[in-house]
Amino acid sequence: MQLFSASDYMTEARTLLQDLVGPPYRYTDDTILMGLNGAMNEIARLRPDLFADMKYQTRMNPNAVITDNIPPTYTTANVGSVVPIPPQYKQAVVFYIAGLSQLLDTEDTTDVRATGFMTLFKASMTSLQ
Amino acid sequence: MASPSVIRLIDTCRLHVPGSGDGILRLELFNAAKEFFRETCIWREELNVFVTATSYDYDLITASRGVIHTLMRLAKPNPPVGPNAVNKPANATGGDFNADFNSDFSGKNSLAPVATGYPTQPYNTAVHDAAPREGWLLASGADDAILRIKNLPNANEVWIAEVALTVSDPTDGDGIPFMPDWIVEKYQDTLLDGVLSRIMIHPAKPYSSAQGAMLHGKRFNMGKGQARNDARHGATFGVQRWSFPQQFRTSSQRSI
Repeated sequence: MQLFSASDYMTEARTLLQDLVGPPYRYTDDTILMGLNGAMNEIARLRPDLFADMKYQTRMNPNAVITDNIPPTYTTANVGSVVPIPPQYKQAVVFYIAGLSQLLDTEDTTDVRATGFMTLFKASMTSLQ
Repeated sequence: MASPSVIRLIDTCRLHVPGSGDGILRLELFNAAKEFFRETCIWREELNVFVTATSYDYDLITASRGVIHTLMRLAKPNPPVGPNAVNKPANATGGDFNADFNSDFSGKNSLAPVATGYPTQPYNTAVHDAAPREGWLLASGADDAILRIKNLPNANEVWIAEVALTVSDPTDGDGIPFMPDWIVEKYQDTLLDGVLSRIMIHPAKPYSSAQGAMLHGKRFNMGKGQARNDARHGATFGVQRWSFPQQFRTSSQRSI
């Protein structure tokens, strides 16, 4: 199963936000990563199984400790880190990042677009839409 | 490496629950298989127990990479019957029984698993002509179950313990539990229903379906019943079809 890094998510979110000219970008790296970290927290609430998915595709380490499997916070220092989300849910995470970024932005867009992204995120996570 | 039947099982699961992760499918396969084997006792193994006159407890060690959960039968097999077996000891190798016993037993109070190469065939064929012995399991479900026998024999003996196993950690490198391939092949539908019933009951997922979980749960229970029957009757058809004579019925539709 192919996994993607935090920087892959940043690039894709910027495509959706039409923020490809830079640096400097309209949406800073910190803003985008805040969206990514927010998405991780939401996924931990809605779909904790996604974080446990990789764990059960291999033999479990006999010395493994109990953990909620949520990845550490992403910062500009570790954008190369892998985001442990199965590829079929990658787009949902990108929707969340774009939605949150646009919610923070009052100049460029309307809240309707942001809400649309957020709705898409939740629908992708919890239904077959 | 997973067998073709397990791969087919996982692929079929994926079709039924789109949006589920493969790791979660394997996790629920483990859980469903554990329930299936525990309730059907269809995965069995016969172990040699090297019983001494001084110890009540013996480690039961299986080479099948499962865990022992139930003691199905404990017996001391009689010597095989046949022109070449007269006056031979229970191990039926024609060798010196005590020498064989001591070399395998080594004074460890442990059982030699079948994989040690100790001849098991004579015991297996003789087990139905065996004298039953009493004993029970301590710590069943642990890696090393302990057999405690009720009465000590007067001399060293080799007994047969028929045990039922279920899956356990560690799994293989793909997260698939070790289980006999013939069982997966034969009861693929039942295991599939077990996985689906468990995974469809997860709340608020794209594949959540209370109705589907109920349907597959019922089918899983029926499949477990069939497997239990197969295990009990040695997978023969038409055994135990005798029914109680109707005139001796104690209840009827009229007199419930």
